[in-house]
Amino acid sequence: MVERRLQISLITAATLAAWMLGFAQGDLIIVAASLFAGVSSVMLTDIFKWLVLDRRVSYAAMIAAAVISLNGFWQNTSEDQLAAIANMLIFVQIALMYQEKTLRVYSHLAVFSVLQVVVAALLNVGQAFSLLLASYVIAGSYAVMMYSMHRESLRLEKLQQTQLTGRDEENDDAEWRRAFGGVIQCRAQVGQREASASILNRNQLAQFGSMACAALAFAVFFFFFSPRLGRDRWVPGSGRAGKVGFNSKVSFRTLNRLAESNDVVMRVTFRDARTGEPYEVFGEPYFRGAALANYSFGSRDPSWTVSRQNAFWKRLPSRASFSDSTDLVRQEISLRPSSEDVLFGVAPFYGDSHSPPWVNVDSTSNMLKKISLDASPTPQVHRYSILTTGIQAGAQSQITRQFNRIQTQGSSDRLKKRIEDVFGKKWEPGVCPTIQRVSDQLIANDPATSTSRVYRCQVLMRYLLGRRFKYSLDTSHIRQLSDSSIDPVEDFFANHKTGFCGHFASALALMLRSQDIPARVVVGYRGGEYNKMGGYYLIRSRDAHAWVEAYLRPEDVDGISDRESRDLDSDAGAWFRLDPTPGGDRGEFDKGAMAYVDQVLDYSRTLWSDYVMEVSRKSSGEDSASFNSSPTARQPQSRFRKWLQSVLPVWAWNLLGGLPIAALLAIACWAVFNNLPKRRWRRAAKRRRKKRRRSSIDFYNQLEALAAKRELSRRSHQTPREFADAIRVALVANEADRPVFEALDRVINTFYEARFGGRALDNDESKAIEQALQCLDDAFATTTAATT
Amino acid sequence: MIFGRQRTTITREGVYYALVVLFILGGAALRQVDLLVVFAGLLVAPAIIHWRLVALTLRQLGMKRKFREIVPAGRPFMVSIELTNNRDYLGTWAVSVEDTVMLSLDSHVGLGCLIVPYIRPGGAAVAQYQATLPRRGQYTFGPMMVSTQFPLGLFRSWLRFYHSDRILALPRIGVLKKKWTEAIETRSVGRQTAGGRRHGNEGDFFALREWRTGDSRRWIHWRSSARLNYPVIRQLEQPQRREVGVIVDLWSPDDPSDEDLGWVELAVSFAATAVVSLIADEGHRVHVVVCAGETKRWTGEVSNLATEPILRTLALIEPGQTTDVANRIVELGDSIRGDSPLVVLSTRSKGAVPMSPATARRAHWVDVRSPAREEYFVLNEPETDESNASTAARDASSNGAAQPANDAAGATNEVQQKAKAAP
Repeated sequence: MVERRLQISLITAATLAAWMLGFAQGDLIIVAASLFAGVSSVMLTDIFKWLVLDRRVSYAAMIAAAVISLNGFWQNTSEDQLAAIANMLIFVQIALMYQEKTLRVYSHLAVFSVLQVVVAALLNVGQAFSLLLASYVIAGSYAVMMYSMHRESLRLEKLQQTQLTGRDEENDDAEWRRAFGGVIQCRAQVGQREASASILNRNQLAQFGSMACAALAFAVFFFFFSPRLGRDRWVPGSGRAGKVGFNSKVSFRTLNRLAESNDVVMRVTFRDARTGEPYEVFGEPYFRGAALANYSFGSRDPSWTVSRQNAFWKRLPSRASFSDSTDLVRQEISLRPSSEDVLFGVAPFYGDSHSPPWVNVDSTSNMLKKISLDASPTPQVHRYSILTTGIQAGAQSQITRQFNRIQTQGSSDRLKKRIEDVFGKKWEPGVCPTIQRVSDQLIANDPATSTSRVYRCQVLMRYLLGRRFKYSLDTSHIRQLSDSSIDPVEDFFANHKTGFCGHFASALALMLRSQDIPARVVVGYRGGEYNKMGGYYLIRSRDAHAWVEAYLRPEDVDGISDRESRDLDSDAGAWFRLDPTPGGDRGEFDKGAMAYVDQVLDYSRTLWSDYVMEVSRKSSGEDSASFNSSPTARQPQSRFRKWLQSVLPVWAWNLLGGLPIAALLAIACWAVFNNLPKRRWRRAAKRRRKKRRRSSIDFYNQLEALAAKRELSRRSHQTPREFADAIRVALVANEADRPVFEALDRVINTFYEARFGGRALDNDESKAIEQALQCLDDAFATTTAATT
Repeated sequence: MIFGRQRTTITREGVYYALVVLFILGGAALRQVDLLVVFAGLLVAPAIIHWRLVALTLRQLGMKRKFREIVPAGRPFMVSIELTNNRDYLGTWAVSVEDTVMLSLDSHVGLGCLIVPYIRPGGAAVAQYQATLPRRGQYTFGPMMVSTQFPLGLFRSWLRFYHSDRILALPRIGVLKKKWTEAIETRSVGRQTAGGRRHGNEGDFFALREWRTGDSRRWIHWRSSARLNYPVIRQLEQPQRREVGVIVDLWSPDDPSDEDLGWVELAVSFAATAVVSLIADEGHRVHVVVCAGETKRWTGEVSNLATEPILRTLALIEPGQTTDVANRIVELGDSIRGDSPLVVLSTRSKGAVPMSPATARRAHWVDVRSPAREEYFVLNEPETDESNASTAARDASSNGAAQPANDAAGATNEVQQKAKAAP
């Protein structure tokens, strides 16, 4: 029973460890193979014993597996090397599973499974690791428990078996040998294995569960307060599966597959920068990414791209003060790295002391970009905090201020001219005649457009939002409708009128440019799912979006409402966000049970990432150096720490930091040196007590003296009790001597209790001992007389 | 209760575990792999909890050993170990008990190994093991080591109880053969009637027993019958119509070999079997003289009541170089009727003992070393596991109380049955 449970629990733990490696490598074959091996080995090898690998065959299989697996060890990246080691561990473990199970095989399986967990931790399997690790620890602990019980029962059985080896003497032909006797045979009434198995029927699970809870609590404490000593931080497998796709380019022939991907791109938390409290945002926020200025008219594969010219990347601008009437919102963003260095956020962007230095902005395109100052490895998540005034009263403003960093005379005019050059002049009416014609007609038909650029922008946008255009992500259908001989935007605008956000944004941008309004296509993300538990927006790849920004001169801002123009204190103008894609408002998110479960899972994933995966980073001071910690992670922890600091005095707070190490050291010291002072103390105490004991065991000396009269002296190898046996044999043995034996027993037992138990004799006992000695004296005298 | 200091040591598995944890902990701390820190924490925590748990498990643990004080050698009997958990809250799990069994002043050592699954707080648990003592003598049970490594086996806590108990193993009982019966019957034929008249018809008072059909009404003890409310009669010891003298000569050289000691044990078993057999066969008056190495000797008349002292003596007697066997033969021959059988059970041949021809003729000498001994006595066949189990079960059902008389009676019945079955 115990061994069967040991086999099942150990194989389960080993399989879970292999799963960790399988998930870490994204290789489901490993997962399936380890599951099959685990189940089949238990059934075929352990239970039915149909398939038991010979030890040598198993070793040969292990060596072959090691050679094959380690072939990949000579790869360039550490991840490939780890993967090679992981595969080797899995193959060796599978070979072990099919061996006949002995204590040695059990221990090997346990060690290999632990090594697999170590490698899996280095490969980093994300949140799944936590679930697998918890399951592994439970199964592993149970296996260790079963192993301990199994081994103990085997030990006792072996001890007993060793005695019974002399049983053959009983069957010896020589009768004198049989009379002389064999060994003392002792056999437990209930076998050791059965007794061990009976433990399983009791409240063992309750004890195991309570122990697991205590261990978990200790592990949490240990984790958060254990120091990270090294400077060289291991960055687990970011290159394998840690990146998401983002393309700062809009093309029309193919649609990026990411449009339908559920990959998480980033999590954004909005907080009031002044109070730190969560800030509620209404509607779907637009997270600005790349601003695309260049459109390759009429080329083979026309597309919008970023203008590399005139880009000047600088640290985020910081303002000394904001008016109290302006909402200042902090965006705390955790962004998974992509192949491009584009960062996202709600514009306009401001920096403060919490903003990392690697977040840079180009004032012309108003793009955020990560520019690393060192060659540090790519982290799994970019965490940065930026300020914005783009959200006022909970609603995102449509107007974005154009920065002018050079506050000199004429700089505004130069900036406006550069904007006109970059975003307004690139227009070819011959390539897109329909766009030109329709735009002209729209402007001409509405007399109000002559006075307001904002109004002109809105008129053009409304045209695209009308029913004549159809939104579709079916690129194959669009390809069938389109005519490859003409520009795809012109084709979309004039012919098929079916497209995705890129078509609409491109059409509007070109329409604006046709009317001499500088415009650019902006790609980024819109909306996302709001996680109520964590209070953050979860942005996925499918939330990628393209929209248009039209340039407004300072005099054009008059056409918009006060709330939207509150931040427009720049003489360099502003950018007006226009989203011409129909069906853009997707309304409220799904509120079903699955959505709630999804939010819970994502929040737990966030907690795992923040509180487990990134603890080392925070503790090593990377927050202030090159990365900024995630607000979702940093704030709760800092609050917790603040609370602790407020509760604890300074010395206690300092002590708390070193507590785990101190506790471990104290435990180790106690375990190692526990005996030393006690022994010294005991020796001294023993010396002090020795004199007292001498007097308390004088009666035994008297017994020896009495025995010596009959030439019975205790030999050096004899214990007092053995000496008493010798006396017993020497005395006459018949029924009448029973009181003498009792007296002897009394003296000896009392001696042991006084000598080794430290018991002091009271008066009654002393008298009883004296009487016993007297009885023995008489017995000695009688026996001596009879002998003579 | 005398017990040693409780100690907690790390096991071999614990050492390996610690090395693995140190490896992971070192890697986690130096390379700042958070998942490894989590893993290390999950490994360290159970180890520390287990360390304290095994140390607590054996605290305030009490022990009591129960068994019969006198058992026949070669027959299994039950030893009960009662462990008491005197704590109020924490139970005790999976306690391993190793009880040492030792023949005093000898090198025979056995080990009773048990696992006590669970002792609830404030409760007790009893575990039993079956012991078989190979030969007669005074055995010591103890010291006892109690240990536990539950649940993880990384640490082992152990405690030694120095309390010891003693048990007396009576000599093995064998099977008397036909020639023995002839030896003690031959000389007594025709003498029974004369001898029987010497003490009268009724004999001495022996005991009271329930009246059975056929008993004489004259034997009814009226006073006791009135008190007990059913008729009881006086059971009278019948006058001994036959006398048998048995001299046990346990001679051994100065430096005895195992074989010498084996022959001594065989002689003792022979003597014990003979004594038990003669006691069982009512109507014998038996004189037993045990000649051992020293001047110590035992002589007495055998009766049901005297069985235990004789067996005790035989259980503890040590061999030696006796020189006065011839004198004992003469003395015993004089004390019994001249035509009563006198048997000498010796570990040496008749010629090795200087004696007069008359003395030699008087004694029926049985040399246990000679093959002819097998015509008188053989040691009982090794018992099967089934019989051992049934015997042990009987022991277990008798609550472990000391019942030497029952032992003797049981042995007597066994001898009778075997004697009847013998050719």
